[in-house]
Amino acid sequence: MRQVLQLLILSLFTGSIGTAQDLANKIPEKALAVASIKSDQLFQLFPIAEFNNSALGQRLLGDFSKRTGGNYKSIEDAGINLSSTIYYYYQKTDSISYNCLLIPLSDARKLETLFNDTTRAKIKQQGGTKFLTTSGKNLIMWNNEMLYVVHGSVSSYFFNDSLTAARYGIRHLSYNDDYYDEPVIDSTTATEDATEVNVDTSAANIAIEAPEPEETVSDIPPPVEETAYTRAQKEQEARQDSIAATWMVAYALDILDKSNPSILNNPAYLRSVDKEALGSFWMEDFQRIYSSYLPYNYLKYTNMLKGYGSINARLYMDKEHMRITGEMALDEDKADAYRKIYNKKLNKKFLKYIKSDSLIGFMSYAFDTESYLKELPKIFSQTYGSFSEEIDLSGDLLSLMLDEKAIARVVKGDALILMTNLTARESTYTTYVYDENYERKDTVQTKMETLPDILCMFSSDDTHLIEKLLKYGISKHKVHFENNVYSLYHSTKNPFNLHVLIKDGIVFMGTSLTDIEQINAGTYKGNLNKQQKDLLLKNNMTMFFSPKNLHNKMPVTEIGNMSETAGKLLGNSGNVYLKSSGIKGNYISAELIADVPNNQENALKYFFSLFNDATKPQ
Amino acid sequence: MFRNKLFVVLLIIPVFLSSCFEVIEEITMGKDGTGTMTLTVNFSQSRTRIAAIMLADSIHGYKVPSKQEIQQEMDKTVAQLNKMPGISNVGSTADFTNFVASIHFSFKDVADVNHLIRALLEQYKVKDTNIPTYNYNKDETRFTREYTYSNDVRTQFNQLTNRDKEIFSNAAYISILRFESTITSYSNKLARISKNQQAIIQRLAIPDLINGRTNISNQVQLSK
Repeated sequence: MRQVLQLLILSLFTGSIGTAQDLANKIPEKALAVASIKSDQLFQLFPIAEFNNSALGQRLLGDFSKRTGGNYKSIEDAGINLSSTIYYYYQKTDSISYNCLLIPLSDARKLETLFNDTTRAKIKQQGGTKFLTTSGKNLIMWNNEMLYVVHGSVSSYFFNDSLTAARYGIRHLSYNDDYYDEPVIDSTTATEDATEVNVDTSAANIAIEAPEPEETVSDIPPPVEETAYTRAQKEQEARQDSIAATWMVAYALDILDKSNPSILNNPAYLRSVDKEALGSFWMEDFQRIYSSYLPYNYLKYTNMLKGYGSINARLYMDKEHMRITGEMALDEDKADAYRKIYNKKLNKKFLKYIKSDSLIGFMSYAFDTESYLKELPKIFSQTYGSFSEEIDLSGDLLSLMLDEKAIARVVKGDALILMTNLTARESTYTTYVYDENYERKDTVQTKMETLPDILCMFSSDDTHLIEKLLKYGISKHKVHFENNVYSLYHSTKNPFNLHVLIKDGIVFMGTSLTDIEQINAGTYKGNLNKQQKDLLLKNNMTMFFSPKNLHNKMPVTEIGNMSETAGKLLGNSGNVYLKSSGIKGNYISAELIADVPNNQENALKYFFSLFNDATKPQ
Repeated sequence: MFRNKLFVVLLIIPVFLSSCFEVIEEITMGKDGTGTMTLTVNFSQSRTRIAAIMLADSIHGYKVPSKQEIQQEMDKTVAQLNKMPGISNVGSTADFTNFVASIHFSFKDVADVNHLIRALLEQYKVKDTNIPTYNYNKDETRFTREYTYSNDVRTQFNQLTNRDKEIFSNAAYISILRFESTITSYSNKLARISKNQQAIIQRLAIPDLINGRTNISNQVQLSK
C-alpha cells in the first residue's frame, strides 16, 4: 500500500513531454465517485525542478533510490506522463467494491525499474498488459499507456447468503463444526457477479496465488497458539481474498483492454468537469449510494435521502486565490422548496454596522422563515416517504399550531453575526495569601482577560414578543434596562455581558456596551468594503474570517502563551470566505475562497508553506 | 442550538490562552501522629474558560462533565474515604462560581494517607508510578515525605497533544506542612520555614514536577 501511495505522490508531481492522453474514457459508466487532478497545472504552480529540490521531493527520491537500488535525480525518471490527468474512481457491485487509480504513462520500462528484483519476478503478463498482485486486495496493472492501481474489498453481505457462499466454496463457520475435512475448492471456478459489471470470463481463468504474507517485521510479538477455529477462519479469509483477486484481474483487464461505456456518457459527471480546474470531484446521487449500502431488509428506509442528487466540486488555484466550488443536484420538489426558502435577501440596513478594516470574522444568512415553516412538512414527507400518512398528518398539525406568517414577522429569517474585536476585560479570581506562619487566607485578585466582541443582528417586523421576554427578565432581576438598552450581565452560566437593543426593525445583541450605545445614538461608524458588500448582498449564506486581524488584535502577553506555530500560521494566512448563493437550475451551490497573501507566489506554494509551518516540530 | 455552539467555539479561541490552576496540599500534624489533610484544586483564574467549556458537550475529544456529575463523583469519593481505615471526618466543598473544589479529612496516622492515595489512584485508574509517601516517626519526632521521580511521568505527559500540555504550563503546586512542635531542621532546600518555625511551605510549577526538575521529598526534624 505504501508503494501505491508513493506512486500517487510521485505521479502528482511528475511531468514530461508526451502525447496528451485522457483516461476518463476508461472510467466505467457506473462509477459512484470520480476525482481527478491535472498534473500539468499542478507543476505549472510548482515547477518540477523546484519540487526535486524541495524537502518532500528529496525525501521521496531518496526513498525510491534506496528501495530500488537506483539513483533517481528527478521525479520525471519514474516514467509517468503527467501532461495529462490522473483519475481516481470508486465502483461498487453487489459482491465487491473497487477503489481505482488511473495514471497515464510515458515510459512503462522506467516504471518497472521502480520495483526491486523480488517484486519484478512476480510480474505476470497477458498480451501487452503486465500486472502484479501486491496482496489479496491490491492489484497494479499497466501497459504502455497507463498504470492502473486497484484496491478491492469484498462486500461482507455478499457471502452471507448460504447459496452464494456455497457457489464460491465459502463456508459459514461455527464453533460446533469439524474443521478437519475442508472441501477442496478450486478458486479459479469463481466468477464475477455479472449483474453489475461486464466481465470477460476468459480472463477469470488466470490462476491467482493465495495472498502472500507482508514483509516480516522483527518486533512482532510471539505467536499465539492457533485454534482449529481461527485456522479455519483464516483459510476462509484467504479463499475470499483469492476470489477477490481473480475478480480484480478480470475487471482490470476489461478496463485496460476494452472500450466499454464510460462515465463520459453521464451528464451529471460532465457538469463537474472544467478545464480551468486543477482538480475535480463528482459523486453519484446520495440516494443511490445510500441504498447501495443498505441490506435488503432495511429497504423501507431507502427514501431517507430522496431528492438529493449528485455532488460535484472543483478546485482552482492561481496567483491570488484558492477556490473550491461545489454543487449538489436537487430534484424538482426539493429545488422548488429550497428556491422558496432561499428567496430572501439580507437586510441592507445591516451593512452600515460592519467595519471591514478591523473585522475578525462574520457569518450571515438569509432564509425566508414563512416559506421554511411551510415547506418543512413537505421536506419531511419526501424524506420519510414510506410513512407518508403519518408525516402528512403531523405536517398539518404543525401548520395548525404555528402561524407561519406571525412567526415570520418576529424572526424574518436574516441574520448577521460579527466578531468585531478582542477586548481585554478585568476579571476577578479567588486565590490565597499565606501569613508569616503560612496560615491560608482567601483573597480576591484581578487580572486582564481577553474576550471576543460579538455583534449579532436580525430583522424583525414585530418585536413585541422579544420585548415582552426582556421585560419578564427585568421583573425577575436578570435583565437591566437603561437608555433603551437591555443588559444581561455575565454569570457562571453566561461568560459574556450581553446587551440588547431594538431599533429600526432590527434586534441587536452585542457583548460591547459601547457598540450598542453608539448604535442607539446613531453614531456607530461602519466602513464596509466593496468585496464584503457584494459577498453579503449576493449570497444567502456567507462566512468570512481574517486570520491576520485576529492575530493583530491578540494582546502580546497572551501570544507569549500561545504556541509559536499557531501565531505564525495566523499571521501568514490570507482571508477565507465561504458563500452560498442558493439555487441555480436545480443545483444548490457553495464556494470557499482563500486569498493568497501578497508575499506568496501562488496558492499551491502558499499551502505548502502553511503545511510546513503547521507540521514543523516546535 | 447551532448558534449557541458557534458562540462557544468563538469564545474558546481566546480564552484557551489563559489557562492556569493551582493545587494546594495542606497537612497539619499533631504530636501524637494524628492530623488533618486538605487538598484544594483552584481553577478560579481560568473560570471564564471553564464556564465556556461547561456549556459545550465535549472539548478536544474529552467529554465535559456536568455540575451534577462532578458533585456525584465527589460525593462518591467522600463516601469511599469514610470507609478507609484510619480516616475520619471526611468532607468536601465545591464552588461552581469560582471553580474551586476541596476535600478534607482526619487521619490516625499519616501512613494511612499513603493507602488512601493508592486507593484513589486505583479508582480513577491512574498509573501510580511516582506518588509521594508520608511517614511520621513518633519516637524520633521526624516527618518524612519521600518522592522518587520516574521517567514514566514525562513519557506519559509527552504522549499528550501540545494543546493538552498547554493546560499544565501555568499550573502551580503548593504544599504546606504544619506542626505543633518547632522545626529544628529540614532537608529540602526549596522549602521555606515560617516565622514561628512550626510550618513549612513549598511552591513549585507543575511542569517542573513532571519533568523531574524539582523534588518534593522532605525530611522534617521536630523538636522533642
